[in-house]
Amino acid sequence: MQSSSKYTFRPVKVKKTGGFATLVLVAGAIWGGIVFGVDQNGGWNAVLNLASNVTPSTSVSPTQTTPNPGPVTANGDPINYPFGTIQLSVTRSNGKISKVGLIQASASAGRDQAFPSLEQAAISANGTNFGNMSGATYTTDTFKQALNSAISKLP
Amino acid sequence: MHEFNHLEECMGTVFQFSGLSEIDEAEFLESATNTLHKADAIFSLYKPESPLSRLARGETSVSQCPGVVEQVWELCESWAKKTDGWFSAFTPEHTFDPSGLVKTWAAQAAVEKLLEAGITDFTLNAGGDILISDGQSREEFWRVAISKPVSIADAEAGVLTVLDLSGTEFRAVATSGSAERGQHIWNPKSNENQQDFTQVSVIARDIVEADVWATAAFAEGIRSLERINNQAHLEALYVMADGSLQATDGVLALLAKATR
Repeated sequence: MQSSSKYTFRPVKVKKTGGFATLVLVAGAIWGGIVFGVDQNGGWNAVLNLASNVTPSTSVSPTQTTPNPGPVTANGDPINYPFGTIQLSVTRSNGKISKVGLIQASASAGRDQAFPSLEQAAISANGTNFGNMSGATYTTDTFKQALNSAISKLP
Repeated sequence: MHEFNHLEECMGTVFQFSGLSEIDEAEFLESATNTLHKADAIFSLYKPESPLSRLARGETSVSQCPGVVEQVWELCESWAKKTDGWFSAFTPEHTFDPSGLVKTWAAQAAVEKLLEAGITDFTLNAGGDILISDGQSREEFWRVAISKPVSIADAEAGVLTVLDLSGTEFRAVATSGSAERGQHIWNPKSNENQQDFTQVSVIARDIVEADVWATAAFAEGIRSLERINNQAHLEALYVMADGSLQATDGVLALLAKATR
């Protein structure tokens, strides 16, 4: 019996059912607590992902933040994920998040070749930067809440 | 060439336009976002005086509503046929509620405003549904992450996996799930809500198609996998109730390759 650690993969099954292949893998493994995702052009998605690494704060809102005339940049802590390290920076100017950047990203190339190719693809895919994130339609309030928790990390 | 990045609150969510433009985009973004607000004013069921709210209360008829109402009505009917009834704009209370389609329908109309102006290099994130323009030049914007099936405000929020749509026919990803607003999609064929999966992401050539199929799949349950697999130009990735994934045949090829 394999460990039930969320970073431990169970073998990938590729089933043929009714003429179409169904790929089954353990989502827990690729969720893995990975907190990253970068839009180098300051998109909110990266902010939201950064947000997932800090305690949500409801006491700070963008409008309550004292506007700062000059840009202020905060670097997140380097985050280790099972296959590398990532670190994000967030810049605020005039009270708004103006830029989110990736200042460090590494992925250990070439996982053990014994892993099945599908699993390899899923792991690799999760270690890739991206421009947008698709998810269930969030409300404006949820969006602000997620943004606030990222902003609360700024000095 | 300069970057633009615009957030617009509308329809209870946030739309984000990000792209590159040679011309001043402000005027055209305004026209694009006006399109969204106009659609909201007509179709919102949260605004008691909107034509749709009045229609739902039986105070008016489709023919008395603005012309787009009939247009959307017909569009909903054609999607109901294509999805074998799993997409439905008629609620269990028999009122007309096209919200499963209006957000992305309006998003597409908004995008046309930018395209007409010659702004062709951008993406639109319509509250979690993604549209990529044909002229998208920035490599990372061809990559679309799929959220974990938890709220973006959740401490566990983050990325499930990443798709890379560059070099493919696909331009849109839409996700339906219970993470943000609970079980908001009704089952048009019975009173039972499916418990098979918590989230489905549909990859398609346009954002309305992706959105409609994601809504239909969420209503139908995991049997929609075979239905979508039998459709050309459509792929889907499901997060099952136990956390495992299932997908149509083409998804594996769409998973992003490692950057190094």
